[in-house]
Amino acid sequence: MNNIQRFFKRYVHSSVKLFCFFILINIVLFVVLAVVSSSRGSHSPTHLLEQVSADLQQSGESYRLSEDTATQMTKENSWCMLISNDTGDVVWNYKIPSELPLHYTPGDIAEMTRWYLEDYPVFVSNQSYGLLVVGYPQDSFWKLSAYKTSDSIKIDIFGLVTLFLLNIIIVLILFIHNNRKIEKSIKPILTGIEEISSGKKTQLVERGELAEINAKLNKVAKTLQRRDRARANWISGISHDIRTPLSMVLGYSSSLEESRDLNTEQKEKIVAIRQQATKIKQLIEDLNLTSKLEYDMQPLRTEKISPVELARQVVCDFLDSGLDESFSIDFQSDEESELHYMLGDEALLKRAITNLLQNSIGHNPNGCAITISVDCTDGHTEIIVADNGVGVSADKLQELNTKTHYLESTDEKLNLRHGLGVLLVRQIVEAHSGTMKIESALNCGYKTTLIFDIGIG
Amino acid sequence: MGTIKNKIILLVDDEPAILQMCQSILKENGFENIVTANTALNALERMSAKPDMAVLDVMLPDMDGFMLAKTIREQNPIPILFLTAKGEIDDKSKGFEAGADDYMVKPFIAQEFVWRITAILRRTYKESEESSFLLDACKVDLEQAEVYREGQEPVSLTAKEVEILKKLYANAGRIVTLGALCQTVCGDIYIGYEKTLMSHIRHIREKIEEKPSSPVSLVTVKGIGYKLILKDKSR
Repeated sequence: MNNIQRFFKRYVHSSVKLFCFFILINIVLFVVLAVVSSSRGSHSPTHLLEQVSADLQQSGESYRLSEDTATQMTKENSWCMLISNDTGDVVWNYKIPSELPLHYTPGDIAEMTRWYLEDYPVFVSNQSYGLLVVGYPQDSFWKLSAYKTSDSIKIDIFGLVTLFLLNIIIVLILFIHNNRKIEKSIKPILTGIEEISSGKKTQLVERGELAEINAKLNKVAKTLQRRDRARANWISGISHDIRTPLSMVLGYSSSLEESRDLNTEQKEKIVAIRQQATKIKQLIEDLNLTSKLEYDMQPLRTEKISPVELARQVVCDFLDSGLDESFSIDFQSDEESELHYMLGDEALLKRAITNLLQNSIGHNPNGCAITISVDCTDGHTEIIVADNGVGVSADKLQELNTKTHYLESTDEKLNLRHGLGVLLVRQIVEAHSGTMKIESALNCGYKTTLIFDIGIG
Repeated sequence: MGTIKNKIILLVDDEPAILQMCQSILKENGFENIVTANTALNALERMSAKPDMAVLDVMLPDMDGFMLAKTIREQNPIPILFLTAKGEIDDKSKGFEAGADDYMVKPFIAQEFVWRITAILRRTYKESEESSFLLDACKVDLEQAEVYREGQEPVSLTAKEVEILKKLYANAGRIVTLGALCQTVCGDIYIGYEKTLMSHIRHIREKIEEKPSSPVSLVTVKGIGYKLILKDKSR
């Protein structure tokens, strides 16, 4: 879920950045355009006016243009004249069109400054020696004239800024809306993928623009589920089929064990057969249950249970089934814990404790003292199974805590020594949202702590 | 004891080897009257032998074991023990819904099989027969609620004490947890009742033990529960 949110956040960020970049580029381009347009200076009338005024040389009554300026003016097909400020007469000209008059009234001058002179676009510069006029061919220039009241200008500027901001806001709204839409249609897909990858069941709605993708994901999920189910069923089937022959082995050997006609040696052999058959029984039960938990095929049957009584019943079963004298089980609990209930699956929790006890017994063939204690405080249940036996080395402990079990491992190197029992305990604890802690040192015993936070009262 | 061992037990399983094994285990443990069947139809025919309890497999070739249980109980409401390779909780709940008195999953240990059958038979047929038993120091009659010692006046038991002894006797030789005992004495809410239970136990010991301070018949399993040890060593 977090990943998905992060993805969309990043997407929005990058899009906003892109948008800003886009606006910036536009501004830069605009500026560049303006600069380029105004840099066509050599052709601009103002520039020509300046050039002419700087270039114009007076010699007595007459004026003369330099060769360069004259060439340029010829190229541009432009002309120029100098009107005397005193008389309004044209005192000098260069290639003035013949139809133009040589005398101008102040009214003519006012008009030409603003508009055209006989449709010739003209540009005017007032110099000390007279009014310099540069003209261009007809239709070569547009002369615009704009005037506004200052209030109207204010409104215009305000309007422009508002328009600009409004545009940005509209674009942003559209963008966010679009983004939402995409997020809405993609989110279920991403959630679905996440669920599939964590092995959960998933079913997407096959509707909308992405229906096809959803349908394909559903298909993948179904295939995976079917495969998991097939594997769990296969294990379940095998363990079922083993039960009948194993019944014979276990039944007869345990019955023979009671027989009085056997000598000590024969009895020992029978006991060994019975013990090993019991181990196989335990193993197939663990295998079956663990595969069911793994593939979520064993729903928790949660009910209100007393952890103290539950642990007692497990110990009771062990003591009743004839525990070897080299083992002792000490049960510890306090009065407060006895008053305590928790929510849990009784059968599974019993199984977990049974496995821990069996683990201690199995790993200490020379016997050991096992302590099982149940401690409940404020909705917190701690079940500890500890022994004073051989324990495990630090390396092995590390392995137990971190390495995946061979049932869950996908690489070629199988660590087959890793017991099924511990994996099952871990699965059961995790199914109850609890935690499991293993502490041990070589020859200093082995201690497993199960912690649950689902207590009541 | 003897009368329970005379009860007729109907064993139904499609696997002849299992049938034979169960039969031999039961015979070794003193059960003489055993009827076997390998199909449901066969089992219904054997009902003419008037069995006192039935041990049924669930997967039979011609009928589901749960159905068979219902059919049998319609004819004659005898106790039923399922003995099956189907160990799922769902199967168990189906079994108990079908009216099972107990449910055992294969593979099993011979002793457990015998215990469970004995317990079911005792539960079902106790009133008429099994209300008294011998302990190391005395004889207890639960029906009369009295304890008899040689050369002494009978001592009477209170109702609660009888309840506790009944529970312990039904599981004689095995531990009964504190929780289970409290439940027997005061119903569902057993928690917090342990001190009262301990005083009941003390009183019972005073009545049945030679030396109440070092009990041999009603022994404590520290922190777990209590166990009743009968004088009769047959179990």
